[in-house]
Amino acid sequence: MELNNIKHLIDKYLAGETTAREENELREFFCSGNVPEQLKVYSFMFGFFRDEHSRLEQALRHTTVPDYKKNEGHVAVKVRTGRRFYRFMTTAVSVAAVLLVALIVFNMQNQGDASGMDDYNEPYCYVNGQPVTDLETAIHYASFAAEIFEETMSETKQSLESLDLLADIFNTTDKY
Amino acid sequence: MEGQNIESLIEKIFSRLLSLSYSMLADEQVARDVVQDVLEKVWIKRHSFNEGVNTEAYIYRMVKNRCIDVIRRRRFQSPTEINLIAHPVHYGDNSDLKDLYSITRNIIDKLPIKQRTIITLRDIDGYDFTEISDMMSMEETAVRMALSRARKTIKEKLSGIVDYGIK
Repeated sequence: MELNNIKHLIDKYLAGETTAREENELREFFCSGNVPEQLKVYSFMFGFFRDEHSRLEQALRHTTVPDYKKNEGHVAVKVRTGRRFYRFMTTAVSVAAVLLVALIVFNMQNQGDASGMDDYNEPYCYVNGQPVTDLETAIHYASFAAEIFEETMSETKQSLESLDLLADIFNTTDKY
Repeated sequence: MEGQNIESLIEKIFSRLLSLSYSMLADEQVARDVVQDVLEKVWIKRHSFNEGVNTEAYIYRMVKNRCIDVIRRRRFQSPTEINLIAHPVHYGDNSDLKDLYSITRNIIDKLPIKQRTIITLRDIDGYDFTEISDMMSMEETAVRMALSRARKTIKEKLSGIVDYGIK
C-alpha cells in the first residue's frame, strides 16, 4: 500500500472517521513488520489492540451465560442489606472520628493550661487590687509589708506589756 | 416482560454486556461478577419490564452504573495492584515489548471512562458504531468524537515514549 494512502487513512483514523474495512487495512499494514520509522508508534498501537483482542477472545468470548436464576428472591434483600450496613458503618465511623478529634483537642487545651504555659503573665502579687507583674516592685512591696508587720507587732507587744503592768498594779491593790 | 423473552434477550446480548463491563473495568473477573449481578437483578425484576420499554438499553445502563460503582470503590485500591490482577500478558524475555504493553495499558486506563470504554469496544472488541452507540446510549457522532480524542491521546503519549525512551 502507498505511504500517502496510509497517511490519509491515519488522519481519518485519528478523527474517528474510518470504516471497519479501512481499519482492517491499517491493522494489516502496521502488523506486517515493514513500517517506516516515523510511523512506528502506530505499530505499537495496533499491535497492542491486536494482542488485547486475542487475549479477550480467549478469556471472554467463550464464557457461557452464568446461572442468573439461582438466587431468585435473595439477591435484592442481600444487596439492600449490604448497602444499609455500609452506610451505617460509614456514619458510625465518621461520628466516632469527630468525637475522637474533639476529645483530643479538648485534652490538649487543658494540658496547655495546666502546664503553666501562661504563667509568664501571672502577677506576683496584688497591691490595692492592682496586679504587680514586675519582680523587683513585688519584692519592694513585700519588704515594705514586712516592715509594717514588724512595726505593728512591736506596738502590739508594747501595748500588751502595758496591760500586764496595769493588771499587776490592780492585783497588788486587791491583795492589800 | 415474559421470562422466555428475557432469556433470549440475555442470550443475545450477553457477550456485549461482558465487553462493555470489561471495557470499563479492565478486569475480567470483576467484569464477569458485575454482569452476573446485573443479570440476577434483571431476572428478579423481569415482571416489571413493560412492553415498549427498551429493555436492552435498560440492561446496558444497569451494567454501566454497576461498573461506575466498582470504579468509585476502586479509588482506594492501588493502581499497580489492579494492573497486576487484570493484565497477565506474557511476552517472554522481550522487556521492551513488555514495557510498551504495560505503558499502553496504563495510558488507556487513565483515559476518561467514556473514552476508555469506547476505544476498547471499537479498537479491541471490534464493535461497529451503531452497536457502541446502543451500548453507551450516545449519538454516533458523539461516539466518534470520544473515540477520536482517545486515539489522539494514546498516539501523542506513545510518541513521546517511543521517540525518547524505547526504540
